[in-house]
Amino acid sequence: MINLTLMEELSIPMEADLVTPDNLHDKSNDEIRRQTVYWGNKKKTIGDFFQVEGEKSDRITIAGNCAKVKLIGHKMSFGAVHVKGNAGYNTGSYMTGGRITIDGNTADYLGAMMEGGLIHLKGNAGHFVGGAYKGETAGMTGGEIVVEGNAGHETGGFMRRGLIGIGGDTGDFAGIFMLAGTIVVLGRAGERVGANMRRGSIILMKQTRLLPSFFQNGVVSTPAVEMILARLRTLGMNPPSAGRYVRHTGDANTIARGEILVREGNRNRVEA
Amino acid sequence: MVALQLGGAPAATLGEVKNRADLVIFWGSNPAESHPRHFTRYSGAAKGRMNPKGRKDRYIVLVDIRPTPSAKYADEFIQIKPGHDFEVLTVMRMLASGKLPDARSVGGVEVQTLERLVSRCKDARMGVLFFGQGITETRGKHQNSLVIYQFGKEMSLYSKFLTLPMRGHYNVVGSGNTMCWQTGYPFAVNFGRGYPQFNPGEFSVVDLLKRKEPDAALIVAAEPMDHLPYEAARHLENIPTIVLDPRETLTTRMATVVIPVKHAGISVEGTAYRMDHIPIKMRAVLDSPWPKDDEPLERIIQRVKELRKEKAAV
Repeated sequence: MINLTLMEELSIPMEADLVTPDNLHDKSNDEIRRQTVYWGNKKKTIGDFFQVEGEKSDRITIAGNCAKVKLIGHKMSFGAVHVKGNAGYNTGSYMTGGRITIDGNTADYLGAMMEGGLIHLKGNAGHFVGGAYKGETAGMTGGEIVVEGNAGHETGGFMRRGLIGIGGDTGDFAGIFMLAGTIVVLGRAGERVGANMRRGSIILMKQTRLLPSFFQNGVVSTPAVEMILARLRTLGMNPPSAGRYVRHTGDANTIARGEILVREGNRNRVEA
Repeated sequence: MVALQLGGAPAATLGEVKNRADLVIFWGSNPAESHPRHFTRYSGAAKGRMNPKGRKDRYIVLVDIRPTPSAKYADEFIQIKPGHDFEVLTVMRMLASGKLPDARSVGGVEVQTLERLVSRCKDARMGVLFFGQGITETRGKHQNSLVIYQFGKEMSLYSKFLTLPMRGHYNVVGSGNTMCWQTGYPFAVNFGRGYPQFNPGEFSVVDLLKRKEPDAALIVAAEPMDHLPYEAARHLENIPTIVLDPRETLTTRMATVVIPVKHAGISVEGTAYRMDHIPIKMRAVLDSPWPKDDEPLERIIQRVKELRKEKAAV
């Protein structure tokens, strides 16, 4: 286990894209201390900010409030990172494997452009969870993101494959431009869910106002949903047991192969 | 700007609008008060090659949440519920491809009214949709602009159709264009690592200031104290700031250092960009004792380089 402890809280953000098991697993503590991080417009080393302890390992534990530490676990492909506080922007971006656990909150772009692996966030996430950077046409292409708290706008935007589970509420435009994949929202989703989605599934547990370009077409009770919820249960979430879902297809302005499943129980259409 | 990157914009210059457009839609924009010359010179009363009768050759539609003073210049006024622009435009896109929504009205507008508007767009010789901050700064933000661009692109299948933003401030297009050819990105560029990085939200001014990350600010020809949200502007009071501005503004009053400069376009000649990205040459008409904008900046850069060298020598 490699233990990194942030010595004092930062006000100027730091880009720590080398803090990954890929980069640190075969290095001694002295070598780790010499690794480059960018702090504001200056080039610094990990040793300037973190206390480094432990022995060679593919498991990294980061303690302290790292809300201003960006790019933790950037492009990581194996091992485990455990952040014991908050994490900053772009945590787990371009990640291809391994596991990131965050006890606190994160800023925007959690798991952006992710290709594989697992991110487990116990607090709240910012905007663009599993999203695409501006100019990209596909965001998350694989892996799983579990957020126990709330998430911001455009959760799972441009998502192409993978699973996102949100325990709390989301902002507007969840699953915008979604190409495929699955988003489960256990709390209340914001407005305009699935705008411009082509394929993929968005599973909502609570009513929300859907766009007029989604058409209700039946009530389903499918084992596929139960399997997804069972998977979320193994990841530590608490989805409801088996139930029936009202199915809406859309977005009618695209090829309309996407579906929004809304758990039955309440009123199903909120007037526009 | 973000929407432009996502969707691309069917755009042309205002000269095209003046000469060809026979359908003009203003959405979330109040040109009578915010762009008073726009109407007379390009979009409303102006006479053009294919619009010899000026105003009579154009059909003008205003879409807004309340009847603004522009409404009396329009042939048709469509009032929508605040925050429903995205839904209304989504339905218009559906109607354009022949799909009907389940609801009879959307965002407070009858679907029939929208159907008439869409068919008018399809039949137009050239339609133009001007959209203002009433739609780009409300719920949905850049996604609202994006749905407009998408609508414009789809309308281009039937007729010539343009979507042009009504840009707010003087030469705001110029700063975007210059940033683009200098760095590859229009705004929110970070040079922290020695090369330009672009990420709106992460590196854009409002978000940086809200998170209290900058520890100094150099402000050139901008008025953040007046234009930025309160909590973002407040952080500027707590950090050292250098302001280059020809006038006394709220920002210069709180600045640590103010360097008065010549007024671009009045005391110094140069180029400013019109809202349709046309560079316009400006002549100097008044003399001023102050330096040009770039002189103090050049000297700051030179001094920083000298200090760096001295530091490296030590």
